[in-house]
Amino acid sequence: MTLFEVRNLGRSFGGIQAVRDVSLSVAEGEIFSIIGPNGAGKTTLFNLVSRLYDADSGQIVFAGRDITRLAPHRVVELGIARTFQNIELFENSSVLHNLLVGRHCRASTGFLSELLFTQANRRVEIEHREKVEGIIELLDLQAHRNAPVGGLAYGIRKVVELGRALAAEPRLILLDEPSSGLNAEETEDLAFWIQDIRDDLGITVMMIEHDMGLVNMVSNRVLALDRGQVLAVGKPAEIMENPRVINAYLGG
Amino acid sequence: MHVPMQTSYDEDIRLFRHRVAALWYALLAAAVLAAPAILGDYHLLQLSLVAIYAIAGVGVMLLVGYAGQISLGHAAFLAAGAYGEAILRAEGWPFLLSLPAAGAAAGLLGLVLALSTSRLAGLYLAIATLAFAFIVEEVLTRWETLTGGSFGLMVGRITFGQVTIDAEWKFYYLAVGLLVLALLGALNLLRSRTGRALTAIRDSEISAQSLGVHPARYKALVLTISATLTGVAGALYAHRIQFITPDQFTILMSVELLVLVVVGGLGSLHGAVLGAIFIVVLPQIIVMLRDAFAISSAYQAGLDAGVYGLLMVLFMLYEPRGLHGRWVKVKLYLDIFPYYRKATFRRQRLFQKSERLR
Ligand SMILES: Nc1ncnc2c1ncn2[C@@H]1O[C@H](COP(=O)(O)OP(=O)(O)O)[C@@H](O)[C@H]1O
Ligand SMILES: [Mg+2]
Repeated sequence: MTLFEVRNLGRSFGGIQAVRDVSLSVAEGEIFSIIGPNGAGKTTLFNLVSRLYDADSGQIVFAGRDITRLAPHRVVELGIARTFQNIELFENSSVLHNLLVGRHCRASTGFLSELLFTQANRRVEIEHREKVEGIIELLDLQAHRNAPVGGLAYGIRKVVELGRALAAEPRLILLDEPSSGLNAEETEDLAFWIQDIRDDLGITVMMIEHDMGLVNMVSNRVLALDRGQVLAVGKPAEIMENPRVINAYLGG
Repeated sequence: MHVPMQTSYDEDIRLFRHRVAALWYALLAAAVLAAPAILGDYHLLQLSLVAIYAIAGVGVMLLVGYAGQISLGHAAFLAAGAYGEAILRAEGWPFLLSLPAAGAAAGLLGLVLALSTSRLAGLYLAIATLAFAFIVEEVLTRWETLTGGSFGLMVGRITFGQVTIDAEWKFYYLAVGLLVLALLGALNLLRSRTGRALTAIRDSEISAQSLGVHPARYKALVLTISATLTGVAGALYAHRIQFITPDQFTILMSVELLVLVVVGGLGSLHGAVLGAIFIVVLPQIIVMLRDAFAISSAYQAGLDAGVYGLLMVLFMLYEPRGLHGRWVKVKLYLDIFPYYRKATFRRQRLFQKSERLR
């Protein structure tokens, strides 16, 4: 069943056509990778989906609903969470606090209830905490729970950002270069987590990734993007043998 | 060092995390309650002033320290509260109604400011708030039928039915009581969804938004709350000084409130109270310095402004976490003696600073 679909999406910045007539569809439960050289428009595609940018043309459909003009802060409550290529954490807060912000779009009890910290609010807070502790356990973040994220190593910060997106209980998660800056061991952990996220949490994954080993290992399908356009979509092995894809990488 | 063993998540949400802290706060509360029995009227008056500044400080702290917004116009909210209270008291409103109304008037003004500046950030926002404060000051001076213009307004005594606040100690308890309410309300918000949303927009608006926080809405909310608290402080301030004129609510007052939160320690409610103590003590230090250096009192205004500016710059450069941050460091030093290293609080830079989308 199709969970997510993009139809003829386009966006330009000044003279640059960053995304050009892109169509794709992702089935529920899929791990769908996007590859392509730098500047191909991968991040722009994610920014269009999470509504940071407005599309010039085309449509974005999620779970049967057209979200092309949705307000950006409403995307996550429908079920799309994301991470950023250049980690965007809440630097002055602890890991725990960062993950709790991920719960923002879920249950709330209203302003007065918070001001008075009523029993209802306490109950919701504890529910959020339980949910977040589950993620801390899944991603092995126990040791860093109360550490300010500003001082953590790069690899751990990436994992925290992943956890924060998971805390929102999305149906679809967008990962922008999750393995960049990670060492081999961390990348291996990441590969398992991505599979766990799909298998155990039932979350569909779309990721932009440069590490072909990782792409090969986890993806059901791969889309190759170049100069804003789709070159090819298919099984990882097919894409990596595709002459147009090879050419795009070598030709620059 | 005290490492608490936790058995439930509730322990992290509690106001007082462990018994030791609760004990210290109990001692502090006892001292605050006993103050009128020990101190004379003069010192009690100063303490009331600390409480008033601290209420406004909590308001400014939420806005500047937690939500990362800037305001150079908070004197306007203080004025709105002060004038609102003076006018409504003169109309015969009971204090229990006039105080919330004065706070609400200031809050409404804050909301209007927030809505009209919702597209601005950083320096532009600062300039807009500054301009706003000038407008309010001008209105207070010109609208003579309502505000008495530059002659000012007398402020009547506070009464609750038969009870009149006619002694320093009564006013002191009232101000401290309101401060405690302000602190509790702020603490409750900060340990809930709203507080997390505020710090989120401070640290990264982009990811806050991608997690469902509506930045404009929360900015409007925090400015409204901030203005309301400052308005309540303004109402008390009006009673404290008994006679209000527009020139008590100039840019210097706005700067004073900023110095309060910067010196106290951005992002901490302790900082709001510490900063308030500092702001009340500071003029006396300035006078001492002035006399020590034999500077003519004709330069007083310039001296005040100069000292505020200098303090702000020095704290920003050398102790961005303010007095509260300094206290945390001293406490840690004592806790883990002799293991303290100078770099304990230095942030590691193992990562590149993320690029911004805007
Ligand atoms: N906010 C923006 N303003 C101007 N140009 C942009 C912006 N975002 C992306 N671009 C341009 O769009 C193209 C694609 O960028 P991007 O999507 O970041 O590529 P990728 O993520 O595939 O490396 C680049 O040429 C980039 O300069
Ligand atoms: Mg990119």
